[in-house]
Amino acid sequence: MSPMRAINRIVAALVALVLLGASAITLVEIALAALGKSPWIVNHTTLANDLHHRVWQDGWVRFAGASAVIVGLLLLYVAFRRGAPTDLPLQTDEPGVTFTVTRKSLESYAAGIAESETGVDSASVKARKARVTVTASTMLLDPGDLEQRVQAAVAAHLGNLHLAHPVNTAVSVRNRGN
Amino acid sequence: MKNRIDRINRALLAVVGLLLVVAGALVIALGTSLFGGRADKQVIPPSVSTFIRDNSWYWWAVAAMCVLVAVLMLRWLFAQLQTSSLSKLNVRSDRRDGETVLEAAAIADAVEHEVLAISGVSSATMRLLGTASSHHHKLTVLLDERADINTVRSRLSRQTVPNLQQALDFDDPQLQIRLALPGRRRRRVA
Repeated sequence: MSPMRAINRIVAALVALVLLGASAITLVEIALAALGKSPWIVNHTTLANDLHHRVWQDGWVRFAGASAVIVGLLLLYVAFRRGAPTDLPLQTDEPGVTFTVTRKSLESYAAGIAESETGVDSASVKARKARVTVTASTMLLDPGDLEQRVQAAVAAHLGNLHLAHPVNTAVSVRNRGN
Repeated sequence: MKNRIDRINRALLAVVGLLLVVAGALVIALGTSLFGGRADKQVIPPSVSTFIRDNSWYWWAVAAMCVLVAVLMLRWLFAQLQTSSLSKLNVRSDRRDGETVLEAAAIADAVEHEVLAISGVSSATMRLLGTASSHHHKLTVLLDERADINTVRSRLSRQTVPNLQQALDFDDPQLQIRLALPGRRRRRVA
């Protein structure tokens, strides 16, 4: 399970728990009031009196409104955020069969390709559906055509994977000697 | 092949989030006189209290709504604990001569054993996902430094997929094959 899906599940469980708890407490309070018993958690008489005396411009009322907007926006962000894909599809023409390559392994693989170029000390890679970004570090004072060499090597190897969607390979070289 | 519960989570979180944003924005608008001179009016005016007092059904309606919300939230909560893995698979269930049930673990073992025999494969994990009526298979193959990805793919296509089709007696097995490439070993695709 991807981190994004795990976060969605945790947030969904929390929201469900909060709404379940609120519903249960309301039900119990209604039942207790109907039976003429004293309230369990929420003193509805005090709450009702309080709300009768509060006006819309009251600081607490506006604070509650602002809190609802913030929590709502956070939930919308969690609902609509698309994390990085866990897999990148490969070309295939077989019906019912999908070949994919895991994004993490592709990043590690491309980093290995970049590091195999002379002059590269280390490399990190971020892969998305249509773009692979390589950041290579070098100790060379004059990297020369290192950026082009890394770009050509990574692009060639990724091309040989036959990814379903063409990816642009962007390379930046950082000089660690400076 | 996206998980159904994840789509439901996104939809419900969006609905709850949208309701909160609209309600919160309305409260702020009322409190900042965006709707005329309502900012100094009571949050619960006396007319609302009178309405609640005069209509005994009101609290029954609230209670019914709470029961409905509680039941839906319980279902939503338990849905988070579900996994989409299948332990058994019915094949030939519509034939008159009985039904054939395959253990998912047995299918997985057979496929993994076959895939591990391919040169360049260091591990293989097979999972059966979905429901009895709509299922798919996910095979994760970890490649080692010797692997030529295109050769491995070819072997999987020519050997593993047809064998799986035959074993399951399905023409269209809905199979996802995830390849995990070897990393940082200065190994290139041949």
